[in-house]
Amino acid sequence: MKIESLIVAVLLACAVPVGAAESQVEYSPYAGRDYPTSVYWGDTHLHTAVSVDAGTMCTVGQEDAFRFARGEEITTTHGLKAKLGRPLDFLVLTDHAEMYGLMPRLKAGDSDILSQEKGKRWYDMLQTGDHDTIFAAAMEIVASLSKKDPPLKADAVVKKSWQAYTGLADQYNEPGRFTTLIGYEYTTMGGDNLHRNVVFRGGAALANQTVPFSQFDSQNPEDLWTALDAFQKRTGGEVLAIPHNGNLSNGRMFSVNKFDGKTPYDTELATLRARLEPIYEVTQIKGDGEAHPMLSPNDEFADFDTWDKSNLNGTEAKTPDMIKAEYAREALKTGLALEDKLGVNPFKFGMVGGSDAHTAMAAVEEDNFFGKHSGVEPEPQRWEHLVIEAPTPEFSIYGWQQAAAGYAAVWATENSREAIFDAMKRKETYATTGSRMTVRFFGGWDFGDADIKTRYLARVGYSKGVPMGGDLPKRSADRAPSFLVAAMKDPMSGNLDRIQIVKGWLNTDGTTDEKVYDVAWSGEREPGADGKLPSVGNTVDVENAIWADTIGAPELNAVWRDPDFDPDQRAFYYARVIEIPTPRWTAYEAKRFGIKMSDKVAMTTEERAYTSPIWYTP
Amino acid sequence: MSAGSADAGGPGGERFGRLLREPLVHFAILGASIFVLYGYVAEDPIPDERRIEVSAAKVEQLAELFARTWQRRPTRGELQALVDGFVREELAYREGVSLGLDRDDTVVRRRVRQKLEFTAVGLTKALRPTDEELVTHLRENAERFRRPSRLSFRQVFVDPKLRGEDTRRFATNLVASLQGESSLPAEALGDPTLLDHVHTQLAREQIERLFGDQFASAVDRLEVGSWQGPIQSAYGVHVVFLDERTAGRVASLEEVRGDVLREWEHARREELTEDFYRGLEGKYEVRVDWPEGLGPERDAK
Repeated sequence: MKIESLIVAVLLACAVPVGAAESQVEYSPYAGRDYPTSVYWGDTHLHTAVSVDAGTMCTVGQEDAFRFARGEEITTTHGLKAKLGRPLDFLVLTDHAEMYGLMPRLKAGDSDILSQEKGKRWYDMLQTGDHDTIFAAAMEIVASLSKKDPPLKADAVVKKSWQAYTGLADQYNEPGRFTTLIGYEYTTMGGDNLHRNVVFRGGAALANQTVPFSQFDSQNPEDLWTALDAFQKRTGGEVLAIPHNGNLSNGRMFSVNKFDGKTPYDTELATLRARLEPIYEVTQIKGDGEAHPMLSPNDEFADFDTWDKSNLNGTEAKTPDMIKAEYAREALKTGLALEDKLGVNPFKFGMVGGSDAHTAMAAVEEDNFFGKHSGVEPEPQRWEHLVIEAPTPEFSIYGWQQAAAGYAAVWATENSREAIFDAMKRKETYATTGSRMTVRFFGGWDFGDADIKTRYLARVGYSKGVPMGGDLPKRSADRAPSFLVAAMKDPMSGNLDRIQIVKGWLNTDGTTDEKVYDVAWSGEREPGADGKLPSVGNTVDVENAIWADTIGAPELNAVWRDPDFDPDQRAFYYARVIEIPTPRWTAYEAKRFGIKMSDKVAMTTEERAYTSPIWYTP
Repeated sequence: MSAGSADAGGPGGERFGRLLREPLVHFAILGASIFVLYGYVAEDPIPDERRIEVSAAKVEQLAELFARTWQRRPTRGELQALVDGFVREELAYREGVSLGLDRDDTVVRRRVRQKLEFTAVGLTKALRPTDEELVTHLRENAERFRRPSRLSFRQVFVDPKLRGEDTRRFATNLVASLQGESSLPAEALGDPTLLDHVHTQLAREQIERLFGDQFASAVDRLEVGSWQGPIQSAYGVHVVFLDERTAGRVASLEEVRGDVLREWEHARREELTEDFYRGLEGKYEVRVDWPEGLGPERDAK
């Protein structure tokens, strides 16, 4: 066969019309592309022994946290050798701002600390060697950090520890291979979780112009935004904040009222929040926060690693009215309503995942999961150990309830601090529950069926539309928006079950709605009479902790046009990609240690990705 | 450091509790580290227990600490007070130690340990490695800093979902038809995929992350300069043209200086801590009387 006829044959077989531009590509067609061509993986939320709470149990410090994330082997707090299955591309170490660096000094018996009554007592408790006493000390220390005033005077310790960290981060920052973004966690209100991770675009030279803003400066996150805003103006540098665990905020994370709980959001505050909080950590070890079954009763995937019994420390029960202000999808809807009223959407955020591990290890691979904190690192009985001890036993959280999640995927032009930060700022990110699938999502007005057959998906996507995190361009013709979505499996995890597009919108009467559309799926399945696509099946052999990729598909894609579009309604769209069932970390652990866990413990999981939304504004 | 303000404190009126705090321990460490790091001073092997010497350097240090706190040099009177205070501390410290007051105090013990480790290990900060040392470190850890071999290739994807049973046959035919066509743009061929068609200078690990382990191994074995396949990946089947193989090699110091420096410091810190305790262990005989059933595993067996 001659080559020309072969090409024709191939093209015909694919039924792909190739435009003139595509058939005349240069040898290196990617030279000069100015859009992101690679997705970079990282953890935006990790604690080490420097964090006061982690430091009560964890002995692994910041240097080893960097080393572990970039793929080196380290020794864990429990003395095990540990290594990631695959290195990460970037890491934001976010030790707690409150009493930053106190723990290593307390444990070492620093005289400044021991001369204070509380310090001495904690020190003595930590020295007992008794597991329960140490755990009690840990809980007490953590609780003290939620008080209005600092338990100890430690300004000098904080500054010195912060600068030691920023210096270390600079030393480990290796553009092109492994990026260390500087960050910390603002940990206000220990009970109702309103925590934020602050991330710097620059290095130590920028970050050393401040110290972490802590809840002792103010328990009101609005003051954090004001402080960050002022910092940006003063230094010319850039920062952003990533809130997390709305699911443990007891109705406060996405409240329509300000921090005082009474005054409604105004335009000024909405603007400030939208500017400083472009992304939200939607999934992590302490539960998944995309959707809740109560809010999304028709979404059979909404109940996923749900933690909804109480607030963070189990001091207050959760009531149904709180749920509405806790989950990402609902918040995106609320944001549309607020935007209609204020002209600005305070909840216009994209998605990332983080671990929030307090072990210094960003280890949320299902078969390599090192747990929430060092009290629940791998050992045969950890599944029934306490993760969080609540005053009311029914609110306590046990080992098996931990989700081995998540990671942040960032479409950046290169692996550097600036490129990753900028991608976060424009929300070109997605969250996964730990698996590393590749997901592209574009919205526009002109995507047609031929576009899914293109071999230049990104080029078509960027030229005809906007990527995840963007706004649909102004509508010019009388048609509904169309979306180009494609997903490729993680080569080391399960096949893909389906791609869904989640739409939320604002009705004219001020109420909001949502709908989940299945847009691409594996196999020959047909939606049933109820419109539901049948389950993909399950090949997991729990006992051996293995699965078979005989179901699902390695790649899925679709062009989807909104069949229910109303040009007068504000709306957002994001993609959710679901994997076939694979063994959950509990299954790997039961197999590894040869143990039997209780029947209530889930043994399989369906890993997923949530992209940042694309918004439509009339 | 808090030692600064303590040293700068006024004379007299100090309660005994304070004596066990930093300045004293600081001094003990100074003694201990001199002992550990520099050995005995030949002409004065054991300091006279009843002689307290405040050297000119110490006086200068006290003045320095004062200046750091107050942003000015002390007056003559203030300096006198500093020296008096130091002497009193020293007197009380020696008396306290001779009474054994330091021995059972966990605070003192921990603080001593922390300071001693810091003194020993903190020295790395002052140590600037020579290029020669870095080159040696690089040579001894050549694998770690090695520039990996890199492959540049083009791939054409054949999607089993579209081709079904014909997948491999289609790919095989494609390989046969493409022979001699070295400049063909891969993106004009094959089935749609999110995988890039052209890959430049990828290390094995990167290929593995994109295509999976099986594909990475197969591509690694290909010959340069012809279309080959079918090659299986996590996604389907590929026909691959290997354009270039850049062999891996040992890195030069200039290429990886930052990394080598960081790793050298890391290794040095670990080594020093280890050496430090080995050295100390050599001076003592350590015996642990383990209670029944609580000993290390090998003893229990």
